[in-house]
Amino acid sequence: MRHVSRLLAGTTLAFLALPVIALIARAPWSSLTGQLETGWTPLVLSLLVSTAATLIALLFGLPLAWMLARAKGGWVRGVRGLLLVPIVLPPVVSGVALTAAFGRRGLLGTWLDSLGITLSFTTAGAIIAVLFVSSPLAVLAAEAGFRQVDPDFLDLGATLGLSAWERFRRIALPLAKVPIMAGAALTWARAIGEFGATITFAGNRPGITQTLPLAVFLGLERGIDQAVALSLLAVALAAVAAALTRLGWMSQ
Amino acid sequence: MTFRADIRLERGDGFALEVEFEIADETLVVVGPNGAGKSTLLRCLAGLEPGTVGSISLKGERWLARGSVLAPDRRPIGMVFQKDLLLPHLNVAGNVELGTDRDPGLWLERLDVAHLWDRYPGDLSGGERQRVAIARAFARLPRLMLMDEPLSAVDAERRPHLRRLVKRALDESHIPAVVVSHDPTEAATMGHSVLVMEGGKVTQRGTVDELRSHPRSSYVAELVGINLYTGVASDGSVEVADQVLVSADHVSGDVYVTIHPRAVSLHRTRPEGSPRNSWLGRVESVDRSFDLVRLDIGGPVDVTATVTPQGLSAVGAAPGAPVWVSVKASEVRLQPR
Repeated sequence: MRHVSRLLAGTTLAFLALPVIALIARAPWSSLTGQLETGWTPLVLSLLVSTAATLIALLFGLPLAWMLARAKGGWVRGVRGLLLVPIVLPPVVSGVALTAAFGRRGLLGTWLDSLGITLSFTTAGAIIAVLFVSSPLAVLAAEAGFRQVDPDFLDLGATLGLSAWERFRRIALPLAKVPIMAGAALTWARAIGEFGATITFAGNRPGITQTLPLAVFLGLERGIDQAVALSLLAVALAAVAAALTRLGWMSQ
Repeated sequence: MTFRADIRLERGDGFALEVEFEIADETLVVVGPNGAGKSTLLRCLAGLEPGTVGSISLKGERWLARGSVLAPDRRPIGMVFQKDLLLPHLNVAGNVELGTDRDPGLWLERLDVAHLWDRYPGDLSGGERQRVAIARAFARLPRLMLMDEPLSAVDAERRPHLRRLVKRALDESHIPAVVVSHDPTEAATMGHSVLVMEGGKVTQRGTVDELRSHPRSSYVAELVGINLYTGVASDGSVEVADQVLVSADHVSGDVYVTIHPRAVSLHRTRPEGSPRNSWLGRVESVDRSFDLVRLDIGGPVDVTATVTPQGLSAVGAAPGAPVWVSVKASEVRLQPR
């Protein structure tokens, strides 16, 4: 029995590690610098888009998380279900949905277009796509964090004369800091890996919407070497994202 | 009167609170059995129980009236909760500054914790944390102080000192204060009067002496029946009136001496054996108003005893009759004054 379980565990590990090892083994080390040159712009764009999406997710998501954590009533369950939709939806479908909403002939897009605002196939659109799929992670993690805050602390804040906003800012936010940061790290990591919604809604425009995963996909057309070289950049980025997430959980 | 409250609250679980009182710039101690609604009363006064109806006013300012409620953060109160509720991410000074723009140093000093100003709550003892919590409540110069068992988190040795600090702070602030307590010594020494709550209602209000002479429930009779004396102790014995009593508490100096009325044994003849504290007294009154019989016994040390009706017939004590009194050394409790 012990041998069987060891075998299964070993197989799992090998299955997860092998592709990454293969990527490094298959790397065109001799021509790497040349191959990587095309990767810098997508890398910078990926960092910009993911970081922007994470910050926006926190700015808009924290008040929602706070309301969900404090609310009593059945609507909370509905809202929480709604937050799961972008997580479980195939990213390509999310992209189609975003196009239907914010595309030039979309529900809201038509109106935005008349104001001269175009989202589809712009960097802003890439941020929107990434935001849609990743922000629920920030909201759900923050909500769980806010729920852990002892409500007596908020009562105390009231008896000290702190307004509702000050109680949120000076008491709830610091007390829930660790789960919020862990959620932000997860959001950022998910944003870095985003492909389907971005390519569907924002397209694959070099320097504008072409993030690193999109560049890898395009690189495949130019040959496996190009794709592998760019993938190494993505692996490095993933390592950073994983470290951030772990740091978030560990400090808890 | 400075502060008036006439409030009602019905909670979802069927508990109902109905309390009316008024106080001047003085301390009212609220006592009562567990679940009587003492903490809930404080929360209602602070504005933390949304269902509260009735009226609350401080010096003519209406905090609660028909159709208008002043939010808790607009009420000039200081509140000390049972838990110290120090925010772990702020140091001692930061915690006090949460409620005021004034220098936190003064009140930290008055509660003997000024030297801890830059420490974080995680590094403090339970007693230190509670002092900081009390300093925080005073520091915003509240016009009504609410305290929920402010000394309960402090160990028994340090409690008397902190009780003196809190009493002095309250007296010097000249504000009305409502202090919840379960300790009869606290009730007798901290407050100007006592409000007794049972089952969400006020069952009695008065000074400790008034409660003692006319207890209106067995809870009150038990509570104020506590024999409380002042005395001078020296390691294991204490002089009360002219009588030297033996105590198991090894404290020296000026002390409060308490003897629970249940711990007072009565005998027809001089008791033999272990009790070292015994004297001959005279029954002054017998009160059978509740399930217990309460006897006031005069003697070298005046003492109140509660016995069961069966116990009374065994002793056969009637007013005017002599009776032997004994108390075990372990039942003579000493607390530094």
